[in-house]
Amino acid sequence: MTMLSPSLIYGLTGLLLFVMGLAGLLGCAELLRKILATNIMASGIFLFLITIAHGSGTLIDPVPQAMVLTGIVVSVSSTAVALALACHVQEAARRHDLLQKKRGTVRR
Amino acid sequence: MTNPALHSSAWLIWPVAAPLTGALLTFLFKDHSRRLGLFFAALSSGLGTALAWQILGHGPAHYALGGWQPPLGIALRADGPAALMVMMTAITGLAVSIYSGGYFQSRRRNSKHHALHSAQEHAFWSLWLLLWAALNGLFLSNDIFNIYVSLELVTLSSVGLTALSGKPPSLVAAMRYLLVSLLGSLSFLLGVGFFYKAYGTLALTAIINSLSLSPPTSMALALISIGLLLKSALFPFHFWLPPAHANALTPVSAILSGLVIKGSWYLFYRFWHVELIFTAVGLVPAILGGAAIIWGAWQAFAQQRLKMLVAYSTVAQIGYLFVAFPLLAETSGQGHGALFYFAISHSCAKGAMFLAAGTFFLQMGHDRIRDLAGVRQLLPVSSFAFGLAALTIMGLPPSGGFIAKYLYINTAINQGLWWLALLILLGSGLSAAYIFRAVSAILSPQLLRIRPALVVSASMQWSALTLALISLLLGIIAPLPLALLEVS
Amino acid sequence: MTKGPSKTASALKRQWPLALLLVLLFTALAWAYLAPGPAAVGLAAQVDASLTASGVSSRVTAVLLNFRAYDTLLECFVIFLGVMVVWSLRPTTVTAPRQPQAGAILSSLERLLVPLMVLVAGYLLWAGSNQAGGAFQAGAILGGAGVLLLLDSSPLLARLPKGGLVWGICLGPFYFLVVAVAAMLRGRHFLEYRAPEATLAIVTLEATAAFSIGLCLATLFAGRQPQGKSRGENSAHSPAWEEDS
Repeated sequence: MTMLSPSLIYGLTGLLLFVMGLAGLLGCAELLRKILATNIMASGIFLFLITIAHGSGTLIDPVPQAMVLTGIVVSVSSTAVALALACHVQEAARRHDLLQKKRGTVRR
Repeated sequence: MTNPALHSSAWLIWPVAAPLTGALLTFLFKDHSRRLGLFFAALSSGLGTALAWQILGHGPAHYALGGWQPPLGIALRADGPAALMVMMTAITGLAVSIYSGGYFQSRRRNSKHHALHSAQEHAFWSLWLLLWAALNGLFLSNDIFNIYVSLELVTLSSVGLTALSGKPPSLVAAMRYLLVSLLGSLSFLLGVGFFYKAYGTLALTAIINSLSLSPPTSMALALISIGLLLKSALFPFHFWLPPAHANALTPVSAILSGLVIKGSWYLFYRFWHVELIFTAVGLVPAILGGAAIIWGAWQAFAQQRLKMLVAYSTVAQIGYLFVAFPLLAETSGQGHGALFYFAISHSCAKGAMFLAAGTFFLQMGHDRIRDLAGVRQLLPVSSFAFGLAALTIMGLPPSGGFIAKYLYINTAINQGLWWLALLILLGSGLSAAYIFRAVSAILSPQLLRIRPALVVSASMQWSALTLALISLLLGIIAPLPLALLEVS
Repeated sequence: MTKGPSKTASALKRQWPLALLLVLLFTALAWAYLAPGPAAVGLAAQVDASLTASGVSSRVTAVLLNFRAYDTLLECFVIFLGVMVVWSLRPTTVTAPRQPQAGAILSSLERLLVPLMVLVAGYLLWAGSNQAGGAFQAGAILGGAGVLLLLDSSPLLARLPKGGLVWGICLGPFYFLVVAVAAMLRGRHFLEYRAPEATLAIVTLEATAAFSIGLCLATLFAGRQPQGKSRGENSAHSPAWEEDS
């Protein structure tokens, strides 16, 4: 196997971040944590792509770099949508709780 | 780099560019969103049909965007299957658009909350046109990173459409759908990274043609497949689908069930359409598909609400889309025919079914199957549409669903896959059971005690019927779509 | 909602199958990354070969705005779509986000920073043609300036002229489409432009995209469609949904 080169470290760190994000997404119950976990996964992938850009030969490949830039914008947009949706879900849940409580008092 | 058999055609970009423009304009001109939306829906539909016609006449085409040939640039590519998918989107999309025009009008007319319905309609048209563009982009793109961007466009616009009704269950469903879809997209993107590292190109055909199974490429394929299965809601990943599809606004339900599912399924087909994969793990999607057929039908049978029943029926029908993957190993092409025939007839039939179910909901104020008896008197056209669509879902002749299942069973028996043929027969029986439950309520001769005034518009009833008739017609004009599919 | 360490520990105990699965997944990923397989050289050489025709000397910008401009076009639509979805979510009740108290520090910081940020954004935009920088970096800085203005409880977005915000958001994607189709009208491919006129196309594309992205990011931070005074129909009077779908 090769020496512990920078590209090896960065690549493996990227993959590790991806798996850590996945742990948060599957293991956490709170919506906010889940959303942040997807961000961590995305960051891991971006690090991985940057490593690929530097990995092949002496020339730095600009295509994965451009992919990362595009990916960041996509991730910003989906995070914003997810956060806004989470706010609405929470609001709906709060109203639902209130409604349940009101019904409970009427029944009593 | 490009295949000399492909001719370059600028027709490929229009099914994407036209709805994109429409999305911007409907967003900008709020007061005219319905007229603009309908106009651009008709335009996109016409351009999609024109593309399919071109491909049928002139063979497969490609188009280098920006004039840069791959691997440096991004190319669009249209062969038979891609053109068929664009055509399917054009037909179902146009019918749903016409339905939506009447749907939002009827809702506004019968409510005092005009502002709510205007805002919903305005958002609907721009999100729907953007979704249309993204789906066409997905079917036509030949660049795996571009496919990722298109997938994200599909995801975000579908989530926006799901949440549009504003009801708490649909908000929760949209949130879940978004998280599952994001996981799917990220898995896909990591797969793209592995593929680029191995092959130094993002062109899909180049990757598929030079594919050899080594650890990095197998990992890439696994990540991409799991991502796409999550998005297609195949059996163990189906949990997000029924609440999302059943609680959305009616046109949205039809779009999600009829079209969006097909986007990720089609990509799965593109990636798996390689000989060597079938020999390795070809049975995995088939087994999951078989489980989906049985589980989905069972759940559909247990539902009390019509839209939930139709949504679980979608879970079962997704099973059919994947169960046929072992059949693709055969070279005669009959397996492809079965698979795509099923996809297009399901798109029309399920679209018609959701549209009819939504008409019942709007008219009656509920969709409890038990209490729908007598609706036939009030909405004869919609009831007839539901019944016709049911024929296709059950796979009875002369519907498109029948042709698809006939091809399935024929190919399976030819290949000696008896268990698959039996599974498809069993699935048909199960679907007949749950469909019969719904149809017997809708078409029951029972009379309504009170006859409420009609609140739904004629365009809602007739667009559903047209779509149902097309699903039936597909059984009669089978040679034409199959000829288009052969183009490659 | 405070979680004691014991609760976390029990949660961990419950989640050991997940942990095991993830460890296996990481092992598989690392193995796939390190194992021998086809290794390609990438596209660096091809990008360099076509760089002079692209109209810019920065390789990343050339990829983003010329070779793979279609991706960037769709990406502008992704940001636009984000705003569309966030605006389409109906506020269920009148729960405006708490307005932070505008302190003296924030206002003076804002007076100092916002002009500077606009300047930096302009520089990044200009620098993008031959070094690191470009539309998205500039757009991000502009978005940051917008967020700073929003923090100061100034109803910035609502104060914009009616429709101005909507047009500003659409400007980037719209101009992209116009440039793409204009090339076709001149008998070229969709989005085809070559040096020397490519430089002008790229610079204007980047400027409009940066402007729209900045506006979109600030709008996304605000979280909902600004309810200007000109808007007659107020969401407070209509419910978030009706039971007839």
